[in-house]
Amino acid sequence: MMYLAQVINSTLREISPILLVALCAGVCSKVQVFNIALEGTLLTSAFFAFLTHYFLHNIFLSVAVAMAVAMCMSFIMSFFIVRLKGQPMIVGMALNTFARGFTTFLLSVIFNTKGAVNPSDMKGLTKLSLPVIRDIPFVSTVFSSLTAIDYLSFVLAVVMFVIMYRTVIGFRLRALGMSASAASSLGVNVQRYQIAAATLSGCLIGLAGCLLTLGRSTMFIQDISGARGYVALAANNLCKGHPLGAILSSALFGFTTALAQSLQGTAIRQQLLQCIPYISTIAAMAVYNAYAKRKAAH
Amino acid sequence: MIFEMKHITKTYGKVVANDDVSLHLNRGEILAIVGENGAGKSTIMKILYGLEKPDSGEIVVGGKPCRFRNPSDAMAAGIGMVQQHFMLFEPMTVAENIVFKNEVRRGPFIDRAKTLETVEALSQRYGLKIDPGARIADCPVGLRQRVEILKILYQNAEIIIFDEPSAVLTPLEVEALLETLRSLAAAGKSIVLITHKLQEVMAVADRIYVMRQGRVVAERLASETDMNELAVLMVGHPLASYDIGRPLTGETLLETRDLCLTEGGRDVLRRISLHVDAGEIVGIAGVSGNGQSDLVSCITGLRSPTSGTVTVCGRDVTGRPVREIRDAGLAHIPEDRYIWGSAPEGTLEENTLMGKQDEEPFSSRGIVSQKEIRHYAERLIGDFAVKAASSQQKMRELSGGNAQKLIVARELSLGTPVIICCEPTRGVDIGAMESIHRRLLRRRGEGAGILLVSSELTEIMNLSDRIYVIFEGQLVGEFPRGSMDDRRLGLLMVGGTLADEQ
Repeated sequence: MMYLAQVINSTLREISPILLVALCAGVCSKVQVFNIALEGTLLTSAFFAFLTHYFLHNIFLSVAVAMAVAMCMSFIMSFFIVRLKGQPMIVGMALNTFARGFTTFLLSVIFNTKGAVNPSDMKGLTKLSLPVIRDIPFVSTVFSSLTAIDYLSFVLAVVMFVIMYRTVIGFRLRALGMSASAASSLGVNVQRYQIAAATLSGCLIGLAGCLLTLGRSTMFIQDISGARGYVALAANNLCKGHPLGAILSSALFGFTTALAQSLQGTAIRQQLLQCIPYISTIAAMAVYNAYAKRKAAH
Repeated sequence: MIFEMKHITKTYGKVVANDDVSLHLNRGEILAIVGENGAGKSTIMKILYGLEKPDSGEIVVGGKPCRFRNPSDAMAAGIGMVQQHFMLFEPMTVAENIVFKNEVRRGPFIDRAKTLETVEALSQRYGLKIDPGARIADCPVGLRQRVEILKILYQNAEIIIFDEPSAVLTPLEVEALLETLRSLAAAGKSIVLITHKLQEVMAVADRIYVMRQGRVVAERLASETDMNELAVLMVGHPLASYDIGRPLTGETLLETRDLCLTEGGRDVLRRISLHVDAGEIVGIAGVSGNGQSDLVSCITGLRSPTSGTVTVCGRDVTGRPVREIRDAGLAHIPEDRYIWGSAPEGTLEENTLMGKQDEEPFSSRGIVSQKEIRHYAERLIGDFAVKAASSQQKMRELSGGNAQKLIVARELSLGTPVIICCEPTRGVDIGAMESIHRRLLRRRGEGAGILLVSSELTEIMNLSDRIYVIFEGQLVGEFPRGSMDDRRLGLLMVGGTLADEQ
């Protein structure tokens, strides 16, 4: 019983970063900007969240810096793809490779290390302990050591849904993604909308980055993003860019990651366990596409 | 006078698209601008709609000189344009498409109920019936066009430009469109109709400008002219009317028997049995998307039929590879000249070689002979009067009509007994169209059997000795030349029966 509560708890903690990135991916896919730079954006913002906190010891400033960095990366990505007509795949991979090299470089310059920085005296995001819940045995474990950003990610999914499907701005974004030529024939500056949407939604990745380095434990490890950017891309694909669907698809990947972690120490080899989230990504995509294809045939 | 364009000149590089064009539009009138492709009529309208900037000249709208930097400026001045290719958001509803950019809002939110109400009221005011909640993807072409018109009316346009509006419509939809044009004019809107279909012009226009080679060559009141005069003005010489004479029918060259194609549980083709004899042109009339393309790909071997047989020159070629079918004596002028008909990035030489690359003298033992190929390409270019700078330029640099002529040249020069000819004159001008038609008729005279698939009913009726009508993958009628008029054929094409006619 306790074990189950722990698995659910670590699932919840795994969902939020993926969900936040998937929400950004959702906006980008709706406006037809193929953003594969999510991974690099996540890594860079995670690093700068950590860096800011390490030197300035201010959690709000750290979150703000992480969001700003993520928005910068997203702006560069969308400017190159939309305005300069770069190949999205190439632009994305370039930014991802850059992010890896850049963070590793700064890590060795500033901290004089190549692997991980784990300062013991650093205090990360406050773990919320909710009044009523903390007294119920099972539930308290489920919701233990979650930060405000974890809760916020679910609220943001709803907010994104309202923005995209109920407001004028969301209507325009979805429409211009369906047909850029139709939108521009009515005098809408499609490129400006695309770049603005991709850039602003980048701040969601910044929040995810904070969770990685200041959430569970306060540390930075090389490649701490651990392909979550790609997993979020897959999650977004699965829910077709719908913000509420993103909760479900992120939950699927959050759960498999948590499962892999909880099975550590059992007889199954660690390398195999580490494959679980990625194999489930491929499996989910395959099953989903087969289903969609069958539905289209009818 | 609601607008006036004075001495507009526009050049693209060395090409003069508009040369000192002046025209004007009166309130509540339907003005037609006619001309061949490349006569400059689209350019002049793009300038008026802010899509292009003129090199010199002046636009005056409502008495004030205007400079349009983009379509928004034109829209603000009350000018709207129904584009040839619809500009719609397919997954969205009719109402959403109409209000885009001027949404009915409540604070930052969309007011859905009021949107539907507004659109409903607009549709009633102009008598353009639509279902505001329907998704565009589920609407037929005629309805989509109506949505485009409503979109413009919603923007309060006083001047509405229609660019080739009937190109994609069925005959019945065309009539509804002409009715709409009349009622819009009656409601005080001013209409500019750009087209090369003279029947429609004579049916609705009040006044007509004829353009040729970038200039306005004539201005006529509809009451003072007729189709023949307009045609002469447009092309500069009288139109050939086709008196194709009696066919010298001979043996059957192409035959399909009970051809069926099922795809994803859907019957795309249902028991198609047809034959094409030597010395005849057989037309297949139908609204695009009723199985014509599928029929052609089954005959030419691009796809295998589910059941039934295809016979070319007495050989059963059902489901055989394309190469083998072509060798059996079949040439194919495909529907889309850039997707299937040619390699747009290839040179004219490479494109004329296609299909003959293994043959002497173009190649021997796997080595191609540049000299022979150039020689051959230049001969075809000359024979078919393809306007090209050199045989080494790229296919995509040719105008649509010339690219099509080259493809026709390549396929006809094979001298095969059977020719499958799909949309041979789609989007080409009258000059190129005539020349392609003459070539097809010449091959017919030489005893070839031609299967002509076209969504252009006039083309089918002018050229065919026999006509099959196809609807939803089924042949719904077969008629000899001259026994049907376009109205009755049109009715069959949309699934009606001759008994429906009143």
